[in-house]
Amino acid sequence: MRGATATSEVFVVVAKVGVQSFGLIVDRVFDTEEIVVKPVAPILRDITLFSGNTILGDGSVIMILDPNGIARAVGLAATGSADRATVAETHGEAAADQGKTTLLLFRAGGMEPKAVPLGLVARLEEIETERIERSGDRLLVQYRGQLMPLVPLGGDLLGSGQARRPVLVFSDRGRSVGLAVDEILDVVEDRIDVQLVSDRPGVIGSAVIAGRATEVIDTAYWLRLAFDDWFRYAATSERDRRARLLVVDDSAFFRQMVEPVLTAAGYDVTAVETADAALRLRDQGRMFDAVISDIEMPGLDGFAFARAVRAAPPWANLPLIALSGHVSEADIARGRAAGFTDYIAKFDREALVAAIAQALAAQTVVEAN
Amino acid sequence: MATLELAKQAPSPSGAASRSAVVSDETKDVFVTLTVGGQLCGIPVLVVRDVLGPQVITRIPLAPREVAGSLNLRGRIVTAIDLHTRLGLERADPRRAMSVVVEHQGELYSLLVDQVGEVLRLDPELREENPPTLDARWRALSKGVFRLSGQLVVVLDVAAILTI
Repeated sequence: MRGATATSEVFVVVAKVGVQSFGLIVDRVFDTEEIVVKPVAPILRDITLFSGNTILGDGSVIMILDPNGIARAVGLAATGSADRATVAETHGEAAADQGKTTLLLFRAGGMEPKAVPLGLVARLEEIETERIERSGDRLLVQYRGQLMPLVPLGGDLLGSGQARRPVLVFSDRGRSVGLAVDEILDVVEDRIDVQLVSDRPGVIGSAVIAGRATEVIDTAYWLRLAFDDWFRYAATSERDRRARLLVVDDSAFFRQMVEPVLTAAGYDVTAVETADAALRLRDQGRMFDAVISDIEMPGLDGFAFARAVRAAPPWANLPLIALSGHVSEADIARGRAAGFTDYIAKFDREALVAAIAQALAAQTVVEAN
Repeated sequence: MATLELAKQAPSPSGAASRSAVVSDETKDVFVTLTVGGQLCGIPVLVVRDVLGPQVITRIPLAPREVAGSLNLRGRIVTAIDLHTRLGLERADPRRAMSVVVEHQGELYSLLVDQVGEVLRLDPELREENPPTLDARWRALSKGVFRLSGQLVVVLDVAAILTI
């Protein structure tokens, strides 16, 4: 929800799914409230307009609308990058201003809380253990007409005797993966300030969240267990000085993924959705130490963005790193011609962190001269 | 046949005498009685979790007709099913309906009924097949009947009722 605007007759809630904006006409707007979305009862699961329900502070039950479901129902075919609900998306954006992220706290394989940026999670579900099926060494569940791989984040899924499992559903480009956990604890808004970088696979590190030491989960690691090609990340604990990075990517999924990764690597990260939004930051006088940009974006693409950055101060000399799904010689040459300092395959975290470190070091030398 | 008392509800004068019998092996033969559109029905006490008076029920747009909405039972979200609609009768008035809360496959559902009556132990030997005169819609949701002095008790099949 971007905001609710009053006209003489109605309120319109402007929602955005992927690149598609649409308005919902509502009777009345009450307030904002932080909630935990609970899955609906099985007999209501077919109604895709709702992502869940919850109990408000006054004890009443409310249904939670799913902007993705609404967009699909009215034929605003939400595809590819339309990977999650807008409410969570703007949460992420609004929170980014104060350096805060909305985090989902849960328990899996131990009593201590674990955290994942809520914006990454498409949906919370509860799945009956008896619905979990085995295929080779994979666990699958039939979910919204597809087979969804389930990755147990805690212990044994089938042998625990638990009748139902909370599952965090991640979706990107039409694929879904479920991370099965032991218990959903809370949703909090807090700063991800990773203080201890972990060398354990699947954990970015530990941060104090809502007053407790909390492990920040490396979602990419777990998603890769389900789909090899979801990301190509490896654990790294590389650190650099606290430089300011601007990330430009239209995929909300990627923005919310890269942010904790780069924060954990010691950077101060701002993420925006479009090249236009990035250039507006420039016009507002915001300064960064390096800019990381996606290539394939609606509107101004990465190449056009690079030319625009190089065209005028004060960003003209900033290191500019391209992220792309396509990394051929020709792509790299085209990227360099447009003004990119470096060209990295998307989701190669190690290469990205190394490229940033290298670009910043080179920049320091330039400035010193 | 013994008349028993359900916790706080359905007061029955002879309750105290045979209360302890509920805990015995025959619990499966004990039914909570209720009325839907004037018809006396029974639900196995084993699946009943609570009996409530009229509740605030949040309607759910696009839900099946039989789903009256959701309600909050001590912090748990319970889906309310209108037994009237489910049995092919006129929609119940949610401001007056009583709720029989049942558990089915780990989920709580509240069945909206007119009134909740006594808790009865009924001899399984006396259970009869659904009579052919029973409405087809009822027959599909019933697991037989008991004949009490002049009254028919329709044993409701909770699993079938919740298969919407």
